[in-house]
Amino acid sequence: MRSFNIKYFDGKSSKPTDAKLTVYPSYWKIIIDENNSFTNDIRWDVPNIKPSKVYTKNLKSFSYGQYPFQYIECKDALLISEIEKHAQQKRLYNKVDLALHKFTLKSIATLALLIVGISVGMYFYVIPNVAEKFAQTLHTNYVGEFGNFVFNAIKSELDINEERSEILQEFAGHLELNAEFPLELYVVDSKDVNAFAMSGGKIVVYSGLLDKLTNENQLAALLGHEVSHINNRHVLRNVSRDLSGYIFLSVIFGDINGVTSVFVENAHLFKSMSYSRDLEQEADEGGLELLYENNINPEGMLELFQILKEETKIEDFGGIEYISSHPLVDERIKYTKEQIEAQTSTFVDNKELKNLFIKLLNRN
Amino acid sequence: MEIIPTKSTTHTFSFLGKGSEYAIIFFKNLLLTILSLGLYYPWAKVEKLKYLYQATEFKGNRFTFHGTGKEVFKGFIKVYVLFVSLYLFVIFATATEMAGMAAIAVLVFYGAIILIIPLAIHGSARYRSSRSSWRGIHFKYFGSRKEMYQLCVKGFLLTIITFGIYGHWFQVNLKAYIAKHLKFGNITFNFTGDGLDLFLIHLKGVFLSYITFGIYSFWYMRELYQFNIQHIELYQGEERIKTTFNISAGDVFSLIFVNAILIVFTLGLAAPWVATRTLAFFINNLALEGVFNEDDIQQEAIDDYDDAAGDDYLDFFDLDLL
Repeated sequence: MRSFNIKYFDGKSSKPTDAKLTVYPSYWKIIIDENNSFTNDIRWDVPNIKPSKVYTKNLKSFSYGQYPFQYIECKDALLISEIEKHAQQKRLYNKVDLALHKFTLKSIATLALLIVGISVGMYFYVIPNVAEKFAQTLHTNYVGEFGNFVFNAIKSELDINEERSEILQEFAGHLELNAEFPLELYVVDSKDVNAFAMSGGKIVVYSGLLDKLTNENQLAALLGHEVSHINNRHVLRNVSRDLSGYIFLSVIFGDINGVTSVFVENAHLFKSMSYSRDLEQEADEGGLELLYENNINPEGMLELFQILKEETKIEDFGGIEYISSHPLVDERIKYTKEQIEAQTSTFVDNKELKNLFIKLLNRN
Repeated sequence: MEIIPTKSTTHTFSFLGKGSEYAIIFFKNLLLTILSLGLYYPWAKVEKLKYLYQATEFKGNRFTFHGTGKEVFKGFIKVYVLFVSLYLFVIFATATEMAGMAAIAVLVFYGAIILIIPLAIHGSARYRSSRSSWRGIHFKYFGSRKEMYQLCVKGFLLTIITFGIYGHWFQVNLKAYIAKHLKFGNITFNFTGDGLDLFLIHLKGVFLSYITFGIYSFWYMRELYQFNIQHIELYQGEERIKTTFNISAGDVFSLIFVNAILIVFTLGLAAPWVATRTLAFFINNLALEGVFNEDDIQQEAIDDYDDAAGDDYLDFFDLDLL
């Protein structure tokens, strides 16, 4: 039977002792001094041996028993093959680790590839789909509460015009919008040319945009677009996708280091912006459908885009679509035109809407 | 008969870890952490520490980390439950819509996080010490939780009142307290740094780095490392043993510069090599100087402390005591 040269420590003092180790099926025998038959051999029963569990190429170490541990170090690479011969000692080594450390470079490459492959799959497929499913199946009440929670947080910063809000509410009441939630509309006094929808049925239109509109069809198109966001639960879907993707990335890359997380965070931002452009297009299409259902002239949507186009011309963002959360207006005009041309419809002038629209403009 | 050394000599440490070996552990752990959505973290942490300890050699023998994944997992759960309940508290408090409730909730949230830090430092020091050994001899931290608390509360308050200036004395006091309550077998420790010196190092460092467009920062970091390491003293009986950390500003530059290049050009894949390079820099340049007998350290009553919660809590904020 093979014996191995080891350094032995008794757990009482730091004094090293040269010793010989022999591995038997159910115990290890440590002989301190071969020439002195008076010293007792030390017996380590296999169940009480603790492996160091990490295999650096040039050292194996084990400890034994309760605190304070006896401890041995062995530099002989063959010790592991000796342990492998005994089925009871399986616990003392790890086949996977041994294999991984045997083929160093191949292991590193394989592991790195697996990490990249699985992360990409999780990030682009599994996580967004699970997050979307979650957002779509969440009970209406919770969606409403989430919307209220967010809206209450920002409400104090909005300069709400009560009078115009009421008229806008009435205007929406005359439209068949098939909303999942009871709609609450607000007109906010602000120069910004903007409007937004929140989970649970809240729509905010800035007076800066409202005052640029010239007929009721444009306003109906705007509301159609926003209601379409609400019906499709766009905010919640966007938030849950964005957040879960972000958490996933920070779990992986937070573990690596700061520089990498900066790269990754920016890539994530690009991706979520491209997703919100998809959502905008979906809302444009849904909004147009709502115009058809209410027999309103779909040209209202095109006119609305034209107004937005004038506005962006003034601000001039340089028009790089890739870094915007909205598609470029020209793009929106193009696909909306195509949608209108593909559909035949009849529309009638709606007196009530017209009157309410005029009333709304006069309260400026 | 034992030969008792009477001459002062230099005793060096070596770090034998290799980037390629550590990369296997690092990437394996990363893969399992992703697949388990983070739940593998405790076992990953233990394997990492076991490797890094075992790669550190002193007088021909290695250090050992005795912690287990199970211990770290239990601590991890405690920290997790704490954070989830704090978050839930804030969410519910905000949802009540009562005036001022949200502000109070946020105050409680941050207050709790700060008030737990001294407990975490105490727990982490005890756990790490209890689980670290060399030649079978264990470290032991025997500081008192109450004293640590007093030290930290005083430190936090004075640091705020003095706009951060007292922070230097606080840092030094904290290090000194931990060192004075640390033992390795029958070896004791001390930290002799002074808050004023640390303050002056920072003052000089920031000023000179500023006027030299950052070039002085390598000397600044060198001074800071040396301050933190060379003020640690060991006592073996009556003998005082000093620590030395002989590095040049050029060494600091090549550590930081090469690390940055490695990370940026590999998009982070070189992280394990960066980790082993950095540890090699610290450990290979560290030495003990004095009349020291490495064969005559006696084990003392061991503190078998298995609560890793404090250590996990500090991980959460990327704080590391060692």
